[in-house]
Amino acid sequence: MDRYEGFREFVLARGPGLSRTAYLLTGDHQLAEDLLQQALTKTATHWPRVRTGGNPEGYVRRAMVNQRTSWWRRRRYTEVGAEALSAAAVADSADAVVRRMALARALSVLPIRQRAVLVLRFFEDMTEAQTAEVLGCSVGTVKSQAHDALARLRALAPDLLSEEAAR
Amino acid sequence: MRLRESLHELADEARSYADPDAAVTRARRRRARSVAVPLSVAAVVLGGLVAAGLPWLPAEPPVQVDPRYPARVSPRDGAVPLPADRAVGAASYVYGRCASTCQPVLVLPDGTQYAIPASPDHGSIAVALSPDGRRLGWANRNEFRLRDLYGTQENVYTGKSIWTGARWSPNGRWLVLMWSGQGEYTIIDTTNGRTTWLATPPWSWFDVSDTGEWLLFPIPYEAGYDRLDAPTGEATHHKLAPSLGQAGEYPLPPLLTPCSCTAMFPLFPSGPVDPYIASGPVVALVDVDLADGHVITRFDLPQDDGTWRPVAVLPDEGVVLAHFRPDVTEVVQLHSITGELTVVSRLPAGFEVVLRGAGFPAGR
Repeated sequence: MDRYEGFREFVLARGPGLSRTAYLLTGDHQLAEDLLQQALTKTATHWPRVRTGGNPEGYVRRAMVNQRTSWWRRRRYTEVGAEALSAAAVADSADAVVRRMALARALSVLPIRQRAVLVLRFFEDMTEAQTAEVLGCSVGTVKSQAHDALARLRALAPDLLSEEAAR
Repeated sequence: MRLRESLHELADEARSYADPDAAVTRARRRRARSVAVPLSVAAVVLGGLVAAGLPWLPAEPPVQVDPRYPARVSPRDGAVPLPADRAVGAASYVYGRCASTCQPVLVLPDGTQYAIPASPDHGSIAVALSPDGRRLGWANRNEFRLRDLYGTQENVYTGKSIWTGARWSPNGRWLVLMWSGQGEYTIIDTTNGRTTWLATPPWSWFDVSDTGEWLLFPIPYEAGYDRLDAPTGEATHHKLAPSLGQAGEYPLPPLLTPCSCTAMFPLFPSGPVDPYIASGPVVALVDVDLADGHVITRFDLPQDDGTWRPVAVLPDEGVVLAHFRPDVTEVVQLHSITGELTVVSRLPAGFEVVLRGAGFPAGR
């Protein structure tokens, strides 16, 4: 049996969603591609075990978050996706562009873990427990990181959180 | 504008970054490197040892990687409970440290561990894991619960008295429950959940065939066994070779093989005591033709510092055995034709294990 049986189908099915997560974690197309491809390579390397575990998508997400943290520790990447935002601005309304730029810049100043918490909790709609599992930390840590991240976002881009604060 | 909506709006800018073929290509290279480098290092080290004329080599054979088993398991306290609301997939085995009570823990092929909500009032691990690892049964007070690990379905079985034992057919289709040792049995067809009630004179040990149509009961002190026809409840006596082993060796209750045409009898050199009560080192397994009672093959087990417990004969794995050594507990497969022994998983010494295909009581 092919060691990688089912891997291609998995990536084709879940690739778009994982690409979106990668982009939110990095804010840059090139970094997002590097991040996702490294996570997929790691997943493919351990594919029989990952597939047996029953949650390959969760495995890729965790690999991406861990890889992003590893990059941050090594300070290889420090820039955010301002270039991508300006390219997208051509076709969009001014309000939408402003919102995305505001969010992208606000996210860019957050520590990597806080950014990951926001992406997993509010984009992936994970519970605190699921987020903790992906990040490899306690639920209490997720709560405190989310609290701190929202507080910083609130200060940087208050319009983005006008309704979120009540949640 | 909520944060959630803003994030989705921002995510709409993402392109497609996923390339499965590139990932597989890199994974192949990575695997090639990870295999090649240790092999070259090992060759250098081994060459050095041989050149140095050292009289020893590593005593412990390497663990054979089998995707059905984690190579090594580190027992942990406080394993999370087996989730009732989602599938976990096929399991590898169950372990537990039995002091006053046993808290059984389920182990998956990737090493994940889950606590089984079994009743703690049994002195041993009162669980039964199917030959394919898909179904897990355990005692909960007077009930027996059977969970399909591929999903969330859990069936509950009760008898006229308390549950005392279980046996799987080698193919895993049939599970027979024994109640209170009074000759009451429930035969479960796991493919559709149907049950058949059977009342017979009591036996302690039994096996169930792959068709679910008959049960095998070994007879202590006699070279024979009783075959109980489940639909009619009639038993017939069958003779075996006068001696299944060498002088001084006694057969223990056998393991039916997947064809249900032969049975593997463990032998241990002890007596004259009741081999169904006494415990002793299993020294060999003999495969016996049930049609005419002659011994087909004998597999001698290495006599080291440990003890062997043959558990089941499975279609894809051969004979599976637990090997209890002073420093480690091993899960071992014995090839049914060549007799080759392969260690597929290890965990620390001092733990009881229930392997795939094992019923309850587990000891032989």
